[in-house]
Amino acid sequence: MNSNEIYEKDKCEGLTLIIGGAYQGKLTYAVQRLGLNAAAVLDLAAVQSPEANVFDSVIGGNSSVYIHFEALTQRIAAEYADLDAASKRLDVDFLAPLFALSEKKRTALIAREIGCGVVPLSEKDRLWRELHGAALSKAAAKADSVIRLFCGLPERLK
Amino acid sequence: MKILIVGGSKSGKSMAAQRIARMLAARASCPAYYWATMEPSDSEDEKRIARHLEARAGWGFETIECGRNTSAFSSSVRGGCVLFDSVTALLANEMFPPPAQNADFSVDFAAGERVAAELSEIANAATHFVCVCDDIFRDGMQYDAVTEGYLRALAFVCRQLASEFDIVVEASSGIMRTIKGNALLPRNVPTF
Repeated sequence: MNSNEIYEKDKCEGLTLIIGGAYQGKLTYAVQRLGLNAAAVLDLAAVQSPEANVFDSVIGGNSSVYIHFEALTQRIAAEYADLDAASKRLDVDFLAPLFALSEKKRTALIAREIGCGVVPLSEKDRLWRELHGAALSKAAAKADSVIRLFCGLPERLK
Repeated sequence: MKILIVGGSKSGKSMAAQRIARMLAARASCPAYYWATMEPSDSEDEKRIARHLEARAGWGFETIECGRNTSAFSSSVRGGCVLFDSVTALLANEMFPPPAQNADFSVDFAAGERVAAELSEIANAATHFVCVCDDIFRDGMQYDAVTEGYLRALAFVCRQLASEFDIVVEASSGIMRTIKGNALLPRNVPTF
């Protein structure tokens, strides 16, 4: 069986978490293989103000594919002094609404893996890594499918 | 058979590539070539190359040294089994030409497509082709535009080769995990 047969469109319902290193083909996979709408892609790196309710500006629209989740976790990490507060903000304003949305339609969250480097010197970067890793674990626990992209090749982890 | 092995630094990818290339060459009774890409820039590099040559002594590889513009050599490995180490170095050489030929330190952002085509050409000339690339995409760092351009180009080459090749392997801690083509993998390679 080749990978094309395994990853048929109808095999991913609800929330799909797509992870992988930089430039590994995560978005291409979501659009070309899962058949998610390219026009419904929302770039979380372009969310302007972390002060505004992330849910209203991000999930309130017609999007179903959220890319650069690492940019959102980085921005929220920069706003808070400790992990608990940052984590609560991310849960309430983004993850919980995303999970609720994924009950109603097929949704994909796309995130870079960022934890395979040297422990960062800056406290903010360390907070970011922790927040991001914890958020991915939550999203993976909730997701119906977790797919990791490696050199453009999908591998189903869940 | 075309094989791509990707892994982090010291993940055991080069040794695994050597074993598999030697075995494929023996099975096909064809010459084995080691395609070396490092262009030494100082005595440290020269020592490293000497160490690598020593490590491969007795393995039966004929060494080809060519770190850029590989087309001139691709016909000389026709019909052989080629171990190419590494994609990472070839792209760096082609993207950042040496200062002697590049007074203004210009960067060739189109090098990725050329390198993918060059590797494809060698792979098609060879009977078997095994190449090695570094996994440098998961540290979460945001680099300057030039370094990001290099990462983007290297990932492009990897995606191209991965889609074209028969077998794709992820190396970690000396363990080889097949991401694609597991059924095609030779059974008697110790590290797999």
